[in-house]
Amino acid sequence: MSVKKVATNQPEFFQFSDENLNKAKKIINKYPEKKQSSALMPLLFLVQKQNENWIPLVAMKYLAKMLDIPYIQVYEVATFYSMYNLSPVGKYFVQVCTTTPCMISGAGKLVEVCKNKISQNQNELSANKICSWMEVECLGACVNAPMLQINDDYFEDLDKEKTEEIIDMILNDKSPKAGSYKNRKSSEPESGRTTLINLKDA
Amino acid sequence: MKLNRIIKTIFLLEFVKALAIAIKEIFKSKKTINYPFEKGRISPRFRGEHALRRYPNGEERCIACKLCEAVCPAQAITIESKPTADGSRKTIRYDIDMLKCIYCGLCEESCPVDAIVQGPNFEFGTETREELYYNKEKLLENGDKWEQTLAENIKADLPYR
Amino acid sequence: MPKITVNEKKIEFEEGLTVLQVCELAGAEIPRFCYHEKLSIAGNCRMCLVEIEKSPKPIASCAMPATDGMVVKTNTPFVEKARKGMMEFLLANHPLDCPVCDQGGECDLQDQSLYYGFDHSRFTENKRQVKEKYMGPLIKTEMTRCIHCTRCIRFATEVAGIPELGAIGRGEDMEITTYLEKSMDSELSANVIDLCPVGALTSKPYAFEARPWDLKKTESIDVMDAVGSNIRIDTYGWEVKRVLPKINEDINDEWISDKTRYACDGLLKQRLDTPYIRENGKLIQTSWTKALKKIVKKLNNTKPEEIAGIVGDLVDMESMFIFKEFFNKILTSSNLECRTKKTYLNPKNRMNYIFNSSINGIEQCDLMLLVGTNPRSEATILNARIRKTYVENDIEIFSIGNPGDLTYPYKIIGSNTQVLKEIIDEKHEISDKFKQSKKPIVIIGESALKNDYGEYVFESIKNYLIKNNHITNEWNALNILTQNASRVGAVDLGLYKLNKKDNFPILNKLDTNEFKILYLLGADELRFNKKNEFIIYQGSHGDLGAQIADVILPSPTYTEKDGHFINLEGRIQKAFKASYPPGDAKEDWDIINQLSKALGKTLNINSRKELEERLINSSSIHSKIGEIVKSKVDTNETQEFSFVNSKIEIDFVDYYFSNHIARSSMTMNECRSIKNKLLSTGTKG
Repeated sequence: MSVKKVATNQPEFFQFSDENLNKAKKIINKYPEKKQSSALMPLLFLVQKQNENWIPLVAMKYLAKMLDIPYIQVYEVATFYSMYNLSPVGKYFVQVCTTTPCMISGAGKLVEVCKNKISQNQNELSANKICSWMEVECLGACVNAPMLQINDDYFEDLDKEKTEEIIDMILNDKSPKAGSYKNRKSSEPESGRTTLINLKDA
Repeated sequence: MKLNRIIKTIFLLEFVKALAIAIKEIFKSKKTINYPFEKGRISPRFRGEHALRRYPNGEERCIACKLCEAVCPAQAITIESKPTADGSRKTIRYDIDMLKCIYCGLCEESCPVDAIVQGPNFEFGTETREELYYNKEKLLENGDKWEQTLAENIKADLPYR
Repeated sequence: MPKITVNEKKIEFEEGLTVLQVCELAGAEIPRFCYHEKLSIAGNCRMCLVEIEKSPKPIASCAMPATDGMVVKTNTPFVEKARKGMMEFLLANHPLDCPVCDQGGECDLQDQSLYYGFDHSRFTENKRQVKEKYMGPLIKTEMTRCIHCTRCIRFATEVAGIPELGAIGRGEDMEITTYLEKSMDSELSANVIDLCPVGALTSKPYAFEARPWDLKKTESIDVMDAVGSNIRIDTYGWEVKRVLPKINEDINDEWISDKTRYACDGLLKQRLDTPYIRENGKLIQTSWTKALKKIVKKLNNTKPEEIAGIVGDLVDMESMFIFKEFFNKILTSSNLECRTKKTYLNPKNRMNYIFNSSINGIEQCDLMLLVGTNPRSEATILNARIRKTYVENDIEIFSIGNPGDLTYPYKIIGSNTQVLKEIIDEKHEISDKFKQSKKPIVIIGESALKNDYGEYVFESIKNYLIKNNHITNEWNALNILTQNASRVGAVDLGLYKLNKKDNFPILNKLDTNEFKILYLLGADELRFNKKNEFIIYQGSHGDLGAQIADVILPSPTYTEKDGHFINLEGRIQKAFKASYPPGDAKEDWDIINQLSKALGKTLNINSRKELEERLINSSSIHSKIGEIVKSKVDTNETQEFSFVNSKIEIDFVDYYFSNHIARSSMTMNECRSIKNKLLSTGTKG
């Protein structure tokens, strides 16, 4: 991995939507006087949400002016954290976990599917520019391995067929159902609960 | 002791011994060579006339690091450098005063890119002193002329460096 | 005072010091890359690891506050191993290109790896490769060599006040860059080159020019502005290859401005190397005897009142001294002037034309008022001091006139003399602040002393400060920010002419073309319409002065002669000869001496040494080199003045083009065109 590439095709203009502007103001107000620059990270995330999962340069300038900090400071933060995308990743951003537990449970097949269905390489937009995928390190759902994340949702207990189904759906701009694909509740055993059976919401 | 000496003197023993050696040598092969038509073998480490080498693609090896200039005990080397058009570091002047040079080989030893070397040539006497103020062209010309031998010599010396 | 043990040696230290500083006090040397005395502490190079008793791990001493009873060891095998390990990490991704690196020979990494490192590396993987970044015409980057000490970033944000540098990415992929590779917009930018402990940031104009061991080093004084920064001039043959700062806590700390550093290539260009005579409108090369003969002929046929001498901005004290002697004794004329613009001057007391609070004193001030000055371009180093004071003490800064971006916030309270009147009449909000303030500073720029309103601005501020007890022997709030290296010295020597009604009679007479002969001693900034004047130009560069001259006498620049300069605080310093002038050029005193001989008279000065002695003995002010000789404050001495209502406009200072050396410099030209947005500032390389 090298420094994140900044997209060459940059939009000319960025502005928060009214709704997001309100949210931004709320976030900024959480911080004490003269420490408003601390709101940078949640605001960058807000930009990313509004702008199809990536942060253009104009948005960085926009935030710098909003928080009265130098451009480079926004740029530093945006390039430091791996969860800020600086080039378009599509409306659906697929992250496949390939760390050990997932790998053992067959994450390789998931990657295979992504390669075949979305794009040959990571961080490359699909033919219809609606989605892209990348391999990531542990996403913390090891019990439900293998899994992948699309935008904010986890898709767990996958295999090749189920992944293909999911990918096909997002390629056609439909939102697939999130959660476990073996119909288990969070990380309970597949065969149902074995302990604390009496408790309703254990 | 005295007796021994008397016998030696009377029978010219030393003389005979020397004659025997001389006669023995007649049948051995010659030790001298017919210089300048014949030349002796010289070591790959021989420190003769200087040369500046090039890379096989023709680019000068010298990067103007000035280590040879700094290390030269006789201060015989003068280098000036400038960036080239492509931004690489190259000399615009590389002079060796062969009259000052004491042929110690430190320049060769200090060179990080094997650019300045002392070749096998020792016959570069000239009629005037001026001809022995070598400039970059002359040194590069030497390098081109002797390249094959120089490369072989460096290769031969490689395990001991 | 708390005590600490460093290598079994007990020493006392002041509270608030770090372990590294205390070790330094104890005489234990600690290697470091990221730590720098003048910058904040980062603690990211980890080179300064030491062993502290009861700590299982080595401690980064630069970021560890020293406490009472600590036992520090810096020479144990444990520390040695830690340093070696750190060095190996730093070198893992550092290229082995020392032979082509300009830092080679003066590189911290090179030196420290020799003393504290391993002799070999166990790292066999591929090394990191980073693209070079564009940072403007002065800084050459080779970011593969960067060890991420972040000194440059800290300098830019803290000292220079331009938060344009930053580190993007993280871990191994961290890269130092300006935002989208724009050039650094600061007059102090090139100091990052000195700060960089490796060869990542090197000097672009000096690229591959010479090796540090090739250069002859001369410690001297800068003349690009009136601050008098201490510099080191590095020469190779007669060429000045580069100029570096010399530490002087009283003046320039460790920094010098870009103009000081990079105008030196102007010392090689446009030089006058032989005398010239104008014949039929064209300048023709000639010999010294012919040139002097022509001058003598003219001088003999002109009345003393019709001869005027103007002294330029970069002239040393010796030259001015002999110039004055020459005018007073040989030409019997007193028409001497050091001002090339009509700025008000009151030379009755020394405090009226110097920076009384001193540069160091700025740090003590609690309130600042800038009157018609842009210290950023008029005295960059002084501006850095103001910024430092602002950052440390958070002082309030007000300005009359709009100076633009000064790298620190200030409030413009107006831009005409009316505001000043309000303050003085105590009708303005600031008046109260001045009353409460213990150590205020008022900095009056040359723009505020212009023409007709200069007298009012100066005398009223002085009166006001005296009234409020801000001009005493302990603290003098009155400060004049002169722009030229020779000005204070010239006024000290008396190279000005004024009368009661007219503050600049010579400049006024120039405008009406009343002089027949003008003798310009390195004066290039003079703006007037030449009619029938015969102009003698004695100087180093073929610049504006030489263009209008009828006879040109070539002389050396500040790097080519010994000479004294008095900086804006009134501190006399000696500049030393680092190189020699080209061609037939002669030292100024020699030229004037020969000219007086050609006139059949003599000044009784036979050598430079004699001249220097006479200069130093001429006044007690000049006797203590490197010190400010404080003269007693005379608060009774006031002058009458009347209110003039006028706008105070701050003259634009063409920073990169402010004197003839800078104008001849290619580097300064490039900087200027970039600043003027003539060249694209986009990405490159």
